[in-house]
Amino acid sequence: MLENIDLSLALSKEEYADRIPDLQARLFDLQRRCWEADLGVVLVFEGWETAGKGKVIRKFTSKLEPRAFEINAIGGRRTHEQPLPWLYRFWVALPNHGRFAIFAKSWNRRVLVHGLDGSLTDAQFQRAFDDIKFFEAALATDRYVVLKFFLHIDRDEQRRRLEALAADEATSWRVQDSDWEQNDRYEEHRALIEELLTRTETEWAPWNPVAAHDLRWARASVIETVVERLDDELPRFEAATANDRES
Amino acid sequence: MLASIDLSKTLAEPEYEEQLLDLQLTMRQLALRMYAEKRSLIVVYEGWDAAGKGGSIRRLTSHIDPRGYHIYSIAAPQGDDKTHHYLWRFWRRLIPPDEKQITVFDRSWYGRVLVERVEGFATSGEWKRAYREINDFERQLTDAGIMVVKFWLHISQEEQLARFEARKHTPYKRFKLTDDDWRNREKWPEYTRAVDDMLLKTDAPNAHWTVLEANCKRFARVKALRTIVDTVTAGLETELPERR
Repeated sequence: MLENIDLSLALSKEEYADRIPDLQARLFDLQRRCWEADLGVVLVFEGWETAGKGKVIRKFTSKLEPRAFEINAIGGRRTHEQPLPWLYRFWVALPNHGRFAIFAKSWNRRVLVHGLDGSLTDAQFQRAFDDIKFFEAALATDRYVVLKFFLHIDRDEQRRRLEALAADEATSWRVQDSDWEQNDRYEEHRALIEELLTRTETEWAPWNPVAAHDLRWARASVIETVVERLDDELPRFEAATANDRES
Repeated sequence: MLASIDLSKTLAEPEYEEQLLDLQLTMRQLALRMYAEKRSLIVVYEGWDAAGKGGSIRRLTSHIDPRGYHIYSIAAPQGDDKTHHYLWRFWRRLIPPDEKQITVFDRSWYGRVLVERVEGFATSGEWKRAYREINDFERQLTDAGIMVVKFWLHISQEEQLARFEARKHTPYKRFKLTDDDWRNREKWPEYTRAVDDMLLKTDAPNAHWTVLEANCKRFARVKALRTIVDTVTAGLETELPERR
């Protein structure tokens, strides 16, 4: 999936300034409509380290109604979650119908993190793909729209960004050993990402790979994808809600 | 499936007293071991109205340390439970074994394919896909090393009527009888079909259904306890999966 992404895609400042306000206004309007239609929206952000997930999310949420969305960054299992199924911590974080929830780290890390560190048995690793698909299917068939993004950058770009971050005292804290490790073993990670994207690509929860060399492009294309998808999905939920309220 | 259940099974009082106490003491030991070894058990009780779920649960818990178990009574969803996926309600009620080792569901996620199906609260698409969702949910529980026991308490329609009448005429039992009980009773054949489908489609080696012949309460209580004791004894022998 990643090889089809044209990483040279970019937006000029003018184009960006031209498009973003309109997209954000539409997104705000759609958020209200989702609320009224009891439609939950689950947004998954994955991507290479330094690909810009945080910056995209900040732009995405900056004009949203803050009382109707939440951001989750759920890492590894905490102690009390250890004896429970691994998806527990994500299930309990699901938004009410009508709300947006952003997962800045998601259940996909089961594959992305543990696929290379050897901490899962082969059976656990293989089962993770089904667990993910069934989980997303349960949501997608029950008044949730599931939108998954993968922010893609190439190895050289990642290295440039890591070096720039590390060189600046104000940002060097952000660079961790695991980030360098990802860059060192870029091809292995890439193969794993490809496997994840291919095996968890479904009709009900398709992946949206995003070219993220240019931040403006990444932001605009993420918001645009959400706007288009919700525009497309909302009418049938609105019709159903209207029927419910009449009866 | 329900049609093949032999409801004439009984257990006489003296044997009942003896076996029950014996099982309860065993259960107490097992509960202590579960506490020490940080193991979880989930027991699901489903059954006809007035089949004896409450009495059976009381016999299960009466000799165990109350700090080690929790009982959920599941009725129609309220509040946040109503505005999420129906399984969310049960996911968030899972309790890690450091806190509670035994979690009892007096009615459960199976409401989706029973009352919600029969009364039309769930669309046919919703309850039909629930079988798979439930199987998957329970597989995740047992994958994590949680033991799962599921009971259907079965009584005959005549026995139910007799118990309803008794409830109606016994002051301290009267509160238990509601209009819903009479409503559900009218739909006995529909419920029977739903129960049969449920038993057929959600019986799995990791999460097995046990039908309790409950016309005789004593028989059902002893069989329930024995099933739990056997499952936990076997479960404690199996090593916990690695928790990743």
